[in-house]
Amino acid sequence: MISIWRRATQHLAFVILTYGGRFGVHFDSALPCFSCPYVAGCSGHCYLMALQSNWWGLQMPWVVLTSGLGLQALAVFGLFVLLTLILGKTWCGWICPFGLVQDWLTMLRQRLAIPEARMSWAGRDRLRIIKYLLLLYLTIIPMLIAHADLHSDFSLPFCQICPVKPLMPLFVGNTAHLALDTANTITLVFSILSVTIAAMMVVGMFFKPRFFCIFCPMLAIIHIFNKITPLRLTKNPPTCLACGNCSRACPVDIRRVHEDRANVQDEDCLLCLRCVESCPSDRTLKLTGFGKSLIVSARRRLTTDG
Amino acid sequence: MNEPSRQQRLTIKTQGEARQEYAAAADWLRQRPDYHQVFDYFLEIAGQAWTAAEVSERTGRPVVQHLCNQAPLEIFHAMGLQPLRLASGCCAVSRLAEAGLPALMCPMLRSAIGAQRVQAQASRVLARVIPTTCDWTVKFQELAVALPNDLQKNSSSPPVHLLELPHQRHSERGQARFQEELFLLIDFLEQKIGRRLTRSALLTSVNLYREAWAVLESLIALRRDGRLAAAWFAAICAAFLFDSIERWLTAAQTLVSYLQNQKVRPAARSVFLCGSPIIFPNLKLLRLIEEAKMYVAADELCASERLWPGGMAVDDRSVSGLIRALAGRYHRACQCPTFADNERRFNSVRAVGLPLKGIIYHVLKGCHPFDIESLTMERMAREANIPFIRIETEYSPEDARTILTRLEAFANIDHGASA
Amino acid sequence: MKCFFPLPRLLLAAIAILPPVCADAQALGASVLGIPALVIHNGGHEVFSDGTLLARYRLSFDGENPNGRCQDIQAFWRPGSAFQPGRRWLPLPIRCDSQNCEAEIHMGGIVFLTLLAQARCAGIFYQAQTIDTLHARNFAPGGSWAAAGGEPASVIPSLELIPAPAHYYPQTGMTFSFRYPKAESNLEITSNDVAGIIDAGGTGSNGVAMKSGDFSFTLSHDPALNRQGFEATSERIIVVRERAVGAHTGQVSAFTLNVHRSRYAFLRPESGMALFVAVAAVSVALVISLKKQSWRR
Repeated sequence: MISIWRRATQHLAFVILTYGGRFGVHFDSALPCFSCPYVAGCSGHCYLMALQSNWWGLQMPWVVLTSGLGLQALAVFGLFVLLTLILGKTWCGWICPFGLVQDWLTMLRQRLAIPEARMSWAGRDRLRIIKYLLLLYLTIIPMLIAHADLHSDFSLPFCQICPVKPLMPLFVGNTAHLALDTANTITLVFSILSVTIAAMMVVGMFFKPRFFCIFCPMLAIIHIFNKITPLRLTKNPPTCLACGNCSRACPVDIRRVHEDRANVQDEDCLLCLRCVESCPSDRTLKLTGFGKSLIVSARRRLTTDG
Repeated sequence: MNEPSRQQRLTIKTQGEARQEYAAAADWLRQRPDYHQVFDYFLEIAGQAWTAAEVSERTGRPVVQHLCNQAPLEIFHAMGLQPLRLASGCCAVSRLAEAGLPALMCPMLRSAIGAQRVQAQASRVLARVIPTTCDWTVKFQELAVALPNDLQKNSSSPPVHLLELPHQRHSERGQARFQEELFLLIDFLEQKIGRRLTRSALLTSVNLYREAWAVLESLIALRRDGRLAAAWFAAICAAFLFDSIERWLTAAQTLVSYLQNQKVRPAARSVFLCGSPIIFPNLKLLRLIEEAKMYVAADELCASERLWPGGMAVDDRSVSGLIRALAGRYHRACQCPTFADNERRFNSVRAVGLPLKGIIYHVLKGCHPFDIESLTMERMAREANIPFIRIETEYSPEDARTILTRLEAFANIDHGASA
Repeated sequence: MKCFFPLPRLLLAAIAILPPVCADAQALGASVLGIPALVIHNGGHEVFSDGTLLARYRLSFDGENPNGRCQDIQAFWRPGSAFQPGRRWLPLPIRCDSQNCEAEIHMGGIVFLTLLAQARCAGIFYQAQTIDTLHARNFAPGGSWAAAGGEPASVIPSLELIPAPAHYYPQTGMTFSFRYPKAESNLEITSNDVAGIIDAGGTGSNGVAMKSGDFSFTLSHDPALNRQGFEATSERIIVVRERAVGAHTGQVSAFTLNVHRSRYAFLRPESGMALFVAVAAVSVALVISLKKQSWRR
């Protein structure tokens, strides 16, 4: 049942965020999910673009950053933080349009009965650092442009390699971002990287659920605020029967949820709640919010949902 | 006409005694005030010692014998085979096997070997699958064929596949190895039946057993609130081990509907039963607990509530994904004491969610893994302030009086607060 | 013709997915205006801490300070949009000294504007125009924008740019259409852009005389501009001289376009898609080959 609600929410969010702008809906530029600004007619923009930009982000010149205008940037950041705090990682598991695209690819693979590609535990752990490196990359480059005269074609460095940029506009019939930009060496290299990463990601997302989320710097930012978000995944260790359903059902291979501990919300957790849904023990895993249990695991649920 | 040998006479005598033992257990259940005709199916199946040939004829499928819970029933079913548990609770047949076996041997396996001897002539078994849990199961085949048995000479032992069980189930290595073991089992069975396991068949079986698990969960819930006695639960589980899943499922669904219309009867002295398996017709301990005015509201016996450990969530429906899910259910979720990493076993007690009078830990003499683990369980029970009693016994009824006295004392002593 | 990114192109050419990209790359000469003209140059934008923006414009005549060489130097601006330029020309103070003649617009909000300057030099009437989009960092209009309600002046531009939405972000490769209302005049048109100027009759080239008053002007690409960042602009000036006929002394009009490099001309969608398919195929092969066990397992 949780999956049904989640799928419905994801599809609704996809339609609103991808096409809502055509009907006058706009949620500003502080969304903690991949509602890509390169999608014409989208109804809100991923905050990563604002963060990198010279308008509200780290590429702002000093004079602007230290002036009252810096407060505007801070206000956008504040809005992003507020949205992140309220919904936490449900942005990833329940709202992100690119998350749904990944889930579609997984559903397609499952329909074709092609097995999921597995990673070794150590290999999977080694990948965790990448999202933080990407976060570092997307914060340092804009500052180098603003203060160290780095070439302005390095602007929006993450957007330039983000697979969302070439892929999401396809849903509004725009293939332009799949093109190579031969204007100069920098644009050519970036566009080759963009297309290459997008192709690799499509294949990766097909064989491995939520493959992109492993590398997502937005997930890294959201996780930074995770300690103070009211929404969290918790576990009652004494009732866990260690069956391992939770970690096996997890689309991003989190093993922490299986461990004998109360705080099981991992940095990679998407709050998709598949673990809660697949837990066969009553009240062992639960989503809490604002001090209340919102969704709890129940053995009866597994008998009906599977 | 030749006189029957001593061994043959003993076998014929044992067959008669075994029939009586099964019938006595079934009769005892029929005499209970909570008996209803809806239980008849389970009494019919559990109440007699079926041979493999009879089971094969009744289900219309070749039989694969197996020991322990770690051999996935879904795989057998998907390959058109009927799984038949080798485990036996019959005391009479174990006497037949005593000669030539170690003195302090697990009674369940001694009984299983005895049952094989009784049925040897009539057996029609495609294969035997033995998960390598404890030392007794690992050596089961060796002990079974080594018996001085003139009947044995006339029958050939079925081909045996040892399903090697990694004893660390929470490690990456252990999980990967067990998945590989399942594929090796599939290869073995495919070779035997001469056709491939198909994804659709496996998926159908997975869904069927999931349905059965859901019914078992309903029965467990009915047991918690006092509507299903442990002895009935033993008969229901025994029937599951000896009949086709489809027939069992139909009967169990009918039973659930009947019990759900009965009044809830909260028990005053609910106990949690764990330890070595209790298999029909060995209802000795269950009867004694009832006589001591206690109610087994929950257990974690491998032939009872833990018949299928955990529910199974399946996302990846490829053969590989389904096998991975099955490996998770039959290995990672299994709480057999032969596993090295069994720290969370006591959580089964905590998960019951009922006020418990105490924990009764059943150890069959010679069942070393449960004997070893009783120490840990006792310590954890003490830490959780739950009264604990360890009952070490075997299939024979001689020690019943002593056990009853201990159980009555356990039931009547005020242990103070409990979980 | 020298290609400006030989190494990457070489690499891509090796897998035959990159068509020639230097076809439009013609070296722009320096200012080759053969006709003395009054020209508006963009002097840059500066954002202040209150979010307002100061745009500076500089006037030149024949490449030098017009102060002293020209009389009646005036400047006007009209805020509007690229779709619909404003109708009212507003006077814009111009400050001339021995070094420069400069005008400034200090405003808030986002606005598209047209700027016009005129002067009489050596007895000939000169006009200069330019368009610009100003992005202030605040949202409330202010500064000169607030003063836009002042008395409009009577100004008649001799050269009109036909409005188009793309003018918000002028780029190389784009075509700008102009109209010189005195269509019967004998016009001589030139530019510092080597690209062809096409008159309504479909003929013409840079620096030739044309009789028609309507003409279009396609801006050439500039490798040097391409190498700079996307924010860099290149100044393209088009000059139209109306020859003196009889008592009419003639006049010269210049239009300055500060253009960015083209966003679309250098995109190679076929190459991108070919690369996408190739990488996807290699990735699938990699996933399959890295799978240690049989596919069924």
